[in-house]
Amino acid sequence: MVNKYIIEIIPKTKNFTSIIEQLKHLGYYNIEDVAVNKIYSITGNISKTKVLFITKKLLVDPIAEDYNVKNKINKSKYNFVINIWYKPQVLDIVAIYVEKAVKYLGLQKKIKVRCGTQICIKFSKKINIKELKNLIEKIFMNPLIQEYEIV
Amino acid sequence: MKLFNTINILSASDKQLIEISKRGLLSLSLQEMKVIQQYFKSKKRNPTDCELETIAQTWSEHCKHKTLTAKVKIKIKKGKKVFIKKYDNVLKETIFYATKKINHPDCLSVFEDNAGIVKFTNKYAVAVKVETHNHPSALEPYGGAATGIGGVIRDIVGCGLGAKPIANTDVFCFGDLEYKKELPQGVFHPRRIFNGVVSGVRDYGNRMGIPTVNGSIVFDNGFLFNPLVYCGCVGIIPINKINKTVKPNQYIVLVGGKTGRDGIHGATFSSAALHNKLPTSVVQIGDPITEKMFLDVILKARDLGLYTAITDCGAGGLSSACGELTKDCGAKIYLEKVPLKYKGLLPWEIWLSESQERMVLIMDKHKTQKFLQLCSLEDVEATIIGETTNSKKLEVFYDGTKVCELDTEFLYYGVPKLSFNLSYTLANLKHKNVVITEPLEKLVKKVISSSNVASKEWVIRQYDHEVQAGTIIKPLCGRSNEMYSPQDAAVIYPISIEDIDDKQKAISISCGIKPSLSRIDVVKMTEYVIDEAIRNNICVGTKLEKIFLLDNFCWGELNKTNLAKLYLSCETAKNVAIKYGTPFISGKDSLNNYYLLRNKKVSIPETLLITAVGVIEDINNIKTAYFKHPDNYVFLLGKFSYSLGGSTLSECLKIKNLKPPELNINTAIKVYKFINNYNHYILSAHDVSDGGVITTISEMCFANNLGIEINLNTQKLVEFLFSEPPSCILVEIPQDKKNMFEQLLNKEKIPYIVLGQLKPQPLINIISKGKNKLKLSVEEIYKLWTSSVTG
Repeated sequence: MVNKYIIEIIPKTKNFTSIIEQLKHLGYYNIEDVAVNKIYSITGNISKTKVLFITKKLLVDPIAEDYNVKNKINKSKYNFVINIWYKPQVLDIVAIYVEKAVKYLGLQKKIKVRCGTQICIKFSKKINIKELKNLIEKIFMNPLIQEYEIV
Repeated sequence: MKLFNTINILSASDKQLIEISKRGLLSLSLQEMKVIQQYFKSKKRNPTDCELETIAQTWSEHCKHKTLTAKVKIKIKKGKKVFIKKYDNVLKETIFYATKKINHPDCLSVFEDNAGIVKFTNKYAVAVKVETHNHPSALEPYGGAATGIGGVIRDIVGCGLGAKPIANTDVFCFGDLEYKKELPQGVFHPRRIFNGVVSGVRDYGNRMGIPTVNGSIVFDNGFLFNPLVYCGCVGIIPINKINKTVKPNQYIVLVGGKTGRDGIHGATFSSAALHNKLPTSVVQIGDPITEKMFLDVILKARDLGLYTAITDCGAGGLSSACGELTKDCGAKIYLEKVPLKYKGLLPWEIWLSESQERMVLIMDKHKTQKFLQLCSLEDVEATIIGETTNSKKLEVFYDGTKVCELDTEFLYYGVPKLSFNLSYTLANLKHKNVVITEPLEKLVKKVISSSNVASKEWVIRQYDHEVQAGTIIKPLCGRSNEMYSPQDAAVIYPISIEDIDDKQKAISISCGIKPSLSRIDVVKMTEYVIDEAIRNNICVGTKLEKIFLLDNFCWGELNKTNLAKLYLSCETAKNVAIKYGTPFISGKDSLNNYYLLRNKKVSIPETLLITAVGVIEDINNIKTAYFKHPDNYVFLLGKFSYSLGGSTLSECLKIKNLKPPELNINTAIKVYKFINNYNHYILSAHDVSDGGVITTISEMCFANNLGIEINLNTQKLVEFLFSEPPSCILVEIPQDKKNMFEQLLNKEKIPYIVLGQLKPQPLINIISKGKNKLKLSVEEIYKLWTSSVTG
């Protein structure tokens, strides 16, 4: 059975003031909170236990980071969660090395890994999708090589 | 899969030829398309897509430097005088000529390999290369800058039979970080480009284990649409490994990463204008881990003598790498053997792909097995993809079908020469007095906190400049952990080369860049940057006769005026280099740095980066740029020219068209040689540069938190403190040697000013004509200096 997991890697010390400043600089003053996490997607015939094992061994620095392994993203306290990935035709170099390292861990099952960035934003007032997309493309991603999903 | 398409050019009209070039992103001119048409007429067939693409890459501005090697006639007007300069090949008759004329005995390989190589010790040489990665960094700052540094490291690995990289350099030009206006779609804000570029260089350099030791950052809205990203690398190579040999019947081996569609058309794209409809494939993504792995294998194989030639897959991919290496004999390449990232690539895409982290090696057939075993042991992918021949043809096959056959003579020597007839009027600015009414203290604070003068610590600290443990002079130095002084040049002691035969020698690396001056006078800009790079090296203790230069021209739209400026800059560079006796050993140009904004071409200011690399004979003579002890005296050596033209103050106050300071090379040489000869008197040295004398003094005070009392006798205090004259250096002399030093200066007729005496209290106290003019706290200045440039 093919399963898909999203692994969120969350920094323990959150300091995103420079991002908020950048957003303000571009005229987005209604941002209450921002968080930027690393994310991985692992797809394949693999159990959650194995994914947890990979996460602990390879993906997370337990001193500086926390993690969540999920099948589905929940927005928690943020208005929007945006997952940004490389387009399939662009070399996802970190994902390639994760796939290699998984083999070195002795897990022989073929899995597909993607590496990305997760942006969580809380606005102080309502924002329309067009405005949100404009903000994402200006600050957080490069449409030439990346694609994104608003969760 | 259809392996190739035939392009009908034999019967194409001029209009159709232009259309074929445009449609295929070939960047070939009508003149070039006609020469290609003629070649295929003689072959009685149309070219394949693979052949046309191969010619386009090989003849691209990036690979052939057509503009700089053009035939040029230029009429130069200076006041009422008119001069005519004629060149058959500008590059050959200016930059190359200077090197030939100087005929420096330490130049071992110049302008013929991937990097310039100069003698270091009797056994080892230094290899240096500086590249630009401007267009990719504008489109994807992180990836563009990372692959820029990755590419220049491969140039070092691919020069001679492979040099070991020991240091990286980075120089950037960005728009104003606080730019507030709306930018066109697809253009990133300067702050985003700044953050991305710095992270890209940091991640690639740090992961490769190479220290990033020297650089500069210029902020100027001329670079809003087209940032400049210069990446340099310095390596060490055994002198007996600097020559490549290629003969028929050897194997061609591809080492490193797999091939994908990334970077296709990079060579042709790098010489075209930026706009907002570019394909994803022009962007490359870096993989430093693969590069580090093959670097180690290659150096091991080099020492075992397993291959006879090597080069990197840069612009043009395999077509350039295989073609260049085998142009004197010929080659057969089998593209189906090339390891791919994914299926479905057409032969021409495999052939042209600029996927990163790949090297091409030529080796004797009987040594190939051993090489492949070595690669396999280190988990490095290596594949035999072809063999050399004696056909003088470049033949490319896919599964037995020939997709390309080109005569190497035509491919490498058939490109038609450009020809220009130009005229240019030299700037003739008169000195004018400027009335500045703002209080002196306010001016100092404005200049010291301006982005071009302010500390770049936020950037510098992200780079590992200590890895390999050989960095003697780091970008920021000082004994305390709280305040640092910036240094003029980095000094590297190649400690990682275990069997080095002279343990006293070190390598110094500095740079010179001043695009703001080119808006006033491109000749003065050229003179200034060469002098700046040299004097930075002089400050750390390098002898003038052991300094070597690299030139990187970045120009905007190539209209007639800009072309004339480019050639004038080359001519000036030649004259200045010959006078100083400092040869050029390598260089690169990046032209057409302009953005199409609603059909209007917005160009960058003409920018020449000069990198100076020096060989320091004795590490005991190295000087840093911060004051050491109270009571010592500070001298300003050099002919001080009072002029605010091109200065940071004039930019801060938006005063335009001021005459820039003059460079007197004869005096500069006297000053530099004096500093070299009386090095043992000097405790610290720092040049007068961006921000003028007041910035130099402040920066020298920082590291030891010392103060200074300056006594002047000038009517022009503002001009004295803020002018940025070339060839002026501040030196610290011990109290007990002051008189002797002055006697020597007088004896040798060196122009100088005794600026003042160092004090233990951290205050900069300026007295002019007996009156107290300024009192500044060093700590307060340091705070201003360190707080304005952050990501």
